[in-house]
Amino acid sequence: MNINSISTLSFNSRLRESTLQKQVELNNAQYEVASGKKYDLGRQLGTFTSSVVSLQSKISLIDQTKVTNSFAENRLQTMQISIGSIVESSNNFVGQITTELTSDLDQSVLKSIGEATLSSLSSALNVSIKGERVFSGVNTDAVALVDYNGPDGASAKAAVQLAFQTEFGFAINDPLAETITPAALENFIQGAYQSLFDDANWESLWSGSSERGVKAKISTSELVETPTTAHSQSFREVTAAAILIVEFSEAAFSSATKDQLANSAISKMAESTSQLGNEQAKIGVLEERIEKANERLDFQSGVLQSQLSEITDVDAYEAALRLNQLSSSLEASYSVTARIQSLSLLNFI
Amino acid sequence: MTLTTALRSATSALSSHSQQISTISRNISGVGDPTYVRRNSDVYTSFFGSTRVETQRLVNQSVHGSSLVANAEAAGANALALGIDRVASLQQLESFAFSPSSLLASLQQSVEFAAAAPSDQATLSSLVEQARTVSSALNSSYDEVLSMRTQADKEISNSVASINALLTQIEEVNNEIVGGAQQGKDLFDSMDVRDQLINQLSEEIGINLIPAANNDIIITTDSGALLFEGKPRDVVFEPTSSFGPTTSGNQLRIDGVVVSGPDAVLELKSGKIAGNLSLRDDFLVQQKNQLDEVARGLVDLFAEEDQTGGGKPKLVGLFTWSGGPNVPAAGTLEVGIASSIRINPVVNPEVGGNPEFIRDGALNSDPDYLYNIDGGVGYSDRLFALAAKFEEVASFDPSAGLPANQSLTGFAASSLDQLNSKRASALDSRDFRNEVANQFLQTLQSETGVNLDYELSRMLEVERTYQANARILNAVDDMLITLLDVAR
Repeated sequence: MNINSISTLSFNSRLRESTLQKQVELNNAQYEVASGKKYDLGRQLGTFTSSVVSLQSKISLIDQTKVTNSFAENRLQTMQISIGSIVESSNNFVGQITTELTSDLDQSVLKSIGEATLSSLSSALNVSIKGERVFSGVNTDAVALVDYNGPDGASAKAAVQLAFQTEFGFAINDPLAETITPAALENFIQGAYQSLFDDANWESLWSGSSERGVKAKISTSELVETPTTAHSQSFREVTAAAILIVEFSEAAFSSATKDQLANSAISKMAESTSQLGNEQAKIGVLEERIEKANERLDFQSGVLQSQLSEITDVDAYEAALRLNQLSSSLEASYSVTARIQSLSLLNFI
Repeated sequence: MTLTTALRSATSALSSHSQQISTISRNISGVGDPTYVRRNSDVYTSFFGSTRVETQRLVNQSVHGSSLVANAEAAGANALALGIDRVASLQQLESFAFSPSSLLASLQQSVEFAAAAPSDQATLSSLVEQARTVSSALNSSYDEVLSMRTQADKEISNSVASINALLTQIEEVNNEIVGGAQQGKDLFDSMDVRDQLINQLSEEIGINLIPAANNDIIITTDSGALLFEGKPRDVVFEPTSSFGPTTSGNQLRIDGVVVSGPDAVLELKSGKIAGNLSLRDDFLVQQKNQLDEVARGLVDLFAEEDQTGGGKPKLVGLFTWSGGPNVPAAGTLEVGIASSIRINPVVNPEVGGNPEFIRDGALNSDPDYLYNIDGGVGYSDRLFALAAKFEEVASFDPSAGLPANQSLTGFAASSLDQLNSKRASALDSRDFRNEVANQFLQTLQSETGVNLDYELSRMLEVERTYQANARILNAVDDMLITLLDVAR
């Protein structure tokens, strides 16, 4: 037999291998056209596979950060609204007491103004989202301001009364209160009374809040802390002013001393209003930062998404074209195979 | 020349034609048989006009030898690719969601989510749940690697059994061939059978053929160890019934020579058996080490440090292991930790644990390890620090075959990269080797196989010459009759 011979078996079967190969490729191309994703990504990427995982996890981390940012934004908005309502009620407090001062001070009206302010303060500071008190800092399970007239506030109330007793030698409701001069009262308010609201007493008597705010990660790298808690000076001042009226308005003060009490309360409250404005500004800055961070996150997410799809997605046009080519070449290979199989000398002898 | 001579030479031609026809018909019957080697009969005419037929078996020894080598390499690449592909495919599901790399990324994300809502029991519990997913994925991947090593060991043992069986069969056929050659028998069918057995042998183990006198053969492995010379040599392998974390598996010996493992004198290079040996001793061991290092890295990452500055050793945190509450030595392989890693029952709410320990520290009830000293439930510093640790550089054992100084996330990512690049190159090499083996087979079959058209045309030819010779017999007969008639 000469050198160019070919056995009938390999002549007939040679096309079989390439037909099988084409069928496999056709199957892969079909997957790519149908799903829009590359077939067997790991084999195509090899040593770059982890970039897919890394991009996917970055994108999902960004999505999560946007969710946690919405928690933080929610918290800050709630705080803004609460502080706004505190500002409103402290303005009312100042306005109403000033009006009262022009006429003869009615003790019961005064007390009711104090009570109203205190209760709106307490409800604003103790506001909670899903059981987390937003003004309590990291001690989210603790009350931000105790209920002064309830059992929790008993020790605070006792401390206020004790301070009065210690200063003047008799109880608040004692008729001897008439003897207290305006100057002596002012001295008490600036001294012993004020010290009831210092750091140590505030924490032990009035509030379970921590000095430190809740932390939040607002972008892939920025860690921020909520700028204010019930521990801050402004809320203590508001509380001090309201308690002053609630506790002492019914004492048997002389008319001049009574005026002094009202004026002290007004000035304390007025002082706190500007501080409350500062708190609102700080929260506003943070809100702005989160908004900016969200914009950046959206942008990043978009860039990462497009990088990911560049790696994992197929060019739909190219894939469709390839599918067409493969199916027509498979058809050609079928018809050639059939024709070759029918070629035999046997048919001619 | 006489009429009788003409008659004799025509008769002898008739007999040689029938021999040729029988060869052609044997060839035609072998058309569909891929292992059949075509026989060629040539007719020689002696000086005296008589003819004799010599039949040869047309085999191309060099193509056959190359085809055996290619077969063995393809079988080895197949075995290796199958194993690597299996490990990789398990991780590849749903866009690599089950790779340690993705699992770690999800865990880090859960830690950050818990940090955003530290007072929420539900997010802390879901962190524990995510941690359980990671630890049980490590456990099951580790078991899978061990069972694949057992499987590879079993495949080796199966190969050894079939090699020994094939060698015994080869011995039988070879004896027939060598004995027959001395007696001058037609041994072509036996040689076909022997070649087929050798082909099968080459899939199990890489071999070289050395032809010897009287159609005898000597078979050695591709590394030079003697497999067959006159009689089969012993191929010895002791299978291991089950692989644990520290099992290393037995070596393979051929004719008393070690051919596998670190002590190999003549290390096997190709064939299914070599593929499975490399799977069992290299690839899977490295996978096992990488899983161990990821597990050790996790235990270390969540471990708690002495917060008082008293210098007490680190103790386990969210994840614990068989050696807990101590933490394994840094940067050193801790064999089997991937199978013993689990979430600490102290933080598992399902068994009465409290997930808040992850946030606050002092999980092993030693107050020196307390992170949240003020006790606020909104404390998130520890959780944020844990999330950041995933990106901090740590040290890993070089025996895992990856860069030693990188973050845990980086380590898991390089592990995934390495696995996929190994898979891609194993699959490429498998495709290439199969292509080569196929090509050699095609060449061999083209050369040694039967072409039906050729045999048919030969048949027509022989038929025509047979007719011509018969016509001669007729003519001589007529002439003799005419002669006899004249003589009467």
